[in-house]
Amino acid sequence: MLSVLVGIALNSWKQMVRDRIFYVVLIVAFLMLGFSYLLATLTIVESRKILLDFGFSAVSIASGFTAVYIGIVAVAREIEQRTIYTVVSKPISRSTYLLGKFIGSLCVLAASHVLLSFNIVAILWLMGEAVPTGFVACLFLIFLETVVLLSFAFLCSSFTSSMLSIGLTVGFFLIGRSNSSFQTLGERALSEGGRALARGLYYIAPNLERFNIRDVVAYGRAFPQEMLWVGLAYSAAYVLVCLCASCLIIRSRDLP
Amino acid sequence: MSENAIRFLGLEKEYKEGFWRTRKLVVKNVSFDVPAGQIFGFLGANGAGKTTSIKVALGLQSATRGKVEIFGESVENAHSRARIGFLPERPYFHLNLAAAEFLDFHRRLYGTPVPGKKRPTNKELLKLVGLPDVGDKLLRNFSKGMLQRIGLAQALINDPDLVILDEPMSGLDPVGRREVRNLMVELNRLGKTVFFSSHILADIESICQRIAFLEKGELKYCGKIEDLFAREALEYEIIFRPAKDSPAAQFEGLGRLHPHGKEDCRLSVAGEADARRVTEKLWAMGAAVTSFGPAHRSLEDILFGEKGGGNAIGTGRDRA
Repeated sequence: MLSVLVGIALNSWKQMVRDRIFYVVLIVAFLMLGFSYLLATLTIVESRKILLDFGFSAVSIASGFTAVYIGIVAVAREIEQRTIYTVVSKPISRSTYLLGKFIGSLCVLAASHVLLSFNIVAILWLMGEAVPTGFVACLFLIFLETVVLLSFAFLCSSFTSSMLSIGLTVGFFLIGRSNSSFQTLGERALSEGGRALARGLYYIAPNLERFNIRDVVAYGRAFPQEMLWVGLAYSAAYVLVCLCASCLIIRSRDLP
Repeated sequence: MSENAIRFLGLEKEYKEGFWRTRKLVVKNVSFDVPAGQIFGFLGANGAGKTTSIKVALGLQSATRGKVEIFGESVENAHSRARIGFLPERPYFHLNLAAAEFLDFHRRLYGTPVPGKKRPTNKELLKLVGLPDVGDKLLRNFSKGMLQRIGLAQALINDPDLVILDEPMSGLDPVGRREVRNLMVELNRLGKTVFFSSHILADIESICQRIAFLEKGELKYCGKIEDLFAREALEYEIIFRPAKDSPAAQFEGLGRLHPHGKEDCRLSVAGEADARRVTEKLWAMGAAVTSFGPAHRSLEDILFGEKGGGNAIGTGRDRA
């Protein structure tokens, strides 16, 4: 069982790191980081803040895009291109297949995230700036956010097409990033029904802001340490729910 | 009693189609057995339900009604697939892998080998399918024929007792088709059951011991090919050239009349005695009989009659 799981994860890794689109995403991210360096050198004041702001955003966008892309490629595209046929016609369960794919995708995501993070460190070093307090925590929380995205992409891929999965995952990301507006809406709503609806949406919709300490770190302020544990528990819960649901769906699904 | 490699037991498969999700029955109450140790041809036109039946047998789709068993085990149990090697209709593979990596990955999916059963190495498999020097080459650089061959290699990676091949000859050139046919015969000689689908009758006729024929989701025939031929009444064919100014219509009452070349005609007559009587009549009518003998009907003639079935079954010549 473990050997099969590792085999599928390894195959998933090889598939993705040989995918040209993956490298295009990395190159775009490096260019964005390069741009942040350029911008920071041209600014007289707060150059470090600009560099960190742009750097974190570049890593967040690139890792988010990578998560959506590899999440879709790992399952939905395998079903559409029918490469899944020769795999699940072997004596393995579809849950093992899905779990192996997730582990492989997670490794790719982690590797690209580490690569991009080192790039920010390199730029800071080039500018003679020290790595700020909370730098690693901030990047770790960004990573946790992308893991949530990856698991949601897996969930969508297990029941729908790749295009629809992309749309749903991007929607999930946008709602997750603006979750606090539901709370604001609730506070400003005139009717009790409106307040209840906004409150309900606030609790149901994902709250990806829990992973955001970018501004706090960029300004060099201290951040509440419990955010790390809350973020970790929140992402673990999301991943668990999404993966369990994906396994249940894909087990009962007829392959086209 | 001999063991059955596959048992289709009242298999039915229904799909929901279109906006209103209307139900369409594509496999209708199909029941037949595939005895172990034989080459079994699964025959039918495109859309007859062959691939759907195979997908259910491999657990890729679930049966709406009925069930399929592999060596006595329900296909709902993943373990039932441990003794199977499968090649899908079109080569859907991970193209970013090198041939050796692809085979290693598929070997790993079978877990630890059963004690005493030796799995073939990559080198042996690649040699067997006629791709001896491509281990390091990425699959994305393979031709369609090469992908079909590497697909065959992965189907044999666990030294399976049952090999299921969905249209294994599709996309291959005549040489490749002959090699795959020979490979199937060789696998059968080694004691493996080979179950393959095809709509190329010549492929099935030349190597299969038994066939199942599916038409529009219904099983029309299942059994030995020779039984199918024996079931047909023995017909005789008489080829003759009518006398000049003699209209062809006057021969129509003598049997089934077909044109044969520019000037000749062919008459199909049931039974030898009738055929002799018709021949004498033809002589009396001034026709020159050039050939007389039992008709050699092909599998295509038997399954589809003279009309040819009006569907997409190929004779082999059209796909070469």
